[in-house]
Amino acid sequence: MSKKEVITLEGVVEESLPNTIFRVILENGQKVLGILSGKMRKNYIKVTVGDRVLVEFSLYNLTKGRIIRRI
Amino acid sequence: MANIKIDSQAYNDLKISGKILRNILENLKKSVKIGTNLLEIENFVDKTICEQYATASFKGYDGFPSSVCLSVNDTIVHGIPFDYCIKSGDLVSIDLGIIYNDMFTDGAITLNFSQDNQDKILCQATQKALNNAIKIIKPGVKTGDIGNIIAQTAEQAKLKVIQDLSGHGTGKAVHEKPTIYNFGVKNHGIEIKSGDVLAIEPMFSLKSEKIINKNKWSIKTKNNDKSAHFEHTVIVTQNGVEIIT
Repeated sequence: MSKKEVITLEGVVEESLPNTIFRVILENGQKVLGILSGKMRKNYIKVTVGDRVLVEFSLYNLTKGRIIRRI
Repeated sequence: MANIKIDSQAYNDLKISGKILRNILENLKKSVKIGTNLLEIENFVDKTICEQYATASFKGYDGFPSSVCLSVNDTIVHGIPFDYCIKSGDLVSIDLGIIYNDMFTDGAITLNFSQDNQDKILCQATQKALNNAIKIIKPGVKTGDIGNIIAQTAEQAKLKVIQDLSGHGTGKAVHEKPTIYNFGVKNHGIEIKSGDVLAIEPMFSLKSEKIINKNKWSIKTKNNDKSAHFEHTVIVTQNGVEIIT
């Protein structure tokens, strides 16, 4: 996927779900699902409820994204 | 998502709510000048809403302290009115929400007190993006189409779209589904149906796409550059849209 077709938005983790999936509330109030990216898993970056995270979305589906960073 | 039938009681209430909002914004457009204090605007809005037997939807929403959002220059939205007199060179965005008989409307304008050409283009392009978006809305259009046309307008004017903020559904609550981003891909997203109540709000800035949020409310541009914000609440009809604010 080309870089132009992805967008990163900031949010706060609201709920931790099974299989490293998290429910994230974005700045605009929308609730989305975020799955932990490979690099985050490889480096054992822990994400818990209340953490601010960067979520990367495809422009074709803005309801599911990849959590790429914890901020 | 609020979906209302045309000619119902809800439709009439929504229209009255929109009319109150439109009148207040038009009054402010004429009366707000260089030197006006933001707290004066807040008092005027509070007083006018009470006189019309309506309520301000923002006051108390998740703890927001005032009836109107006044965002100056680099503040994009959710600015809390404070003791500040408008100066020459300022861009002031006035965002207002009205509840009348449990029907919610939302509208915003940006007033330009600057002689700078860039600021003028910023305001004009944001207004144009809103008009372009409203023109294409009809039943069957998807949220991606609306976002795409807004982003295209920004690109033509060499401005940036604020990515983290978006338009939304309204009608029976301040924010409802669907989320209408100001960017997107054509033919993707949620389909708009007849009777839907939507708040379309393009937000552009000169350089920043990202935001910073230092306190709970006031959202600013990342590079401290100026931003503009226009908003209308619309009802989707069989043939197009009806602007109610």
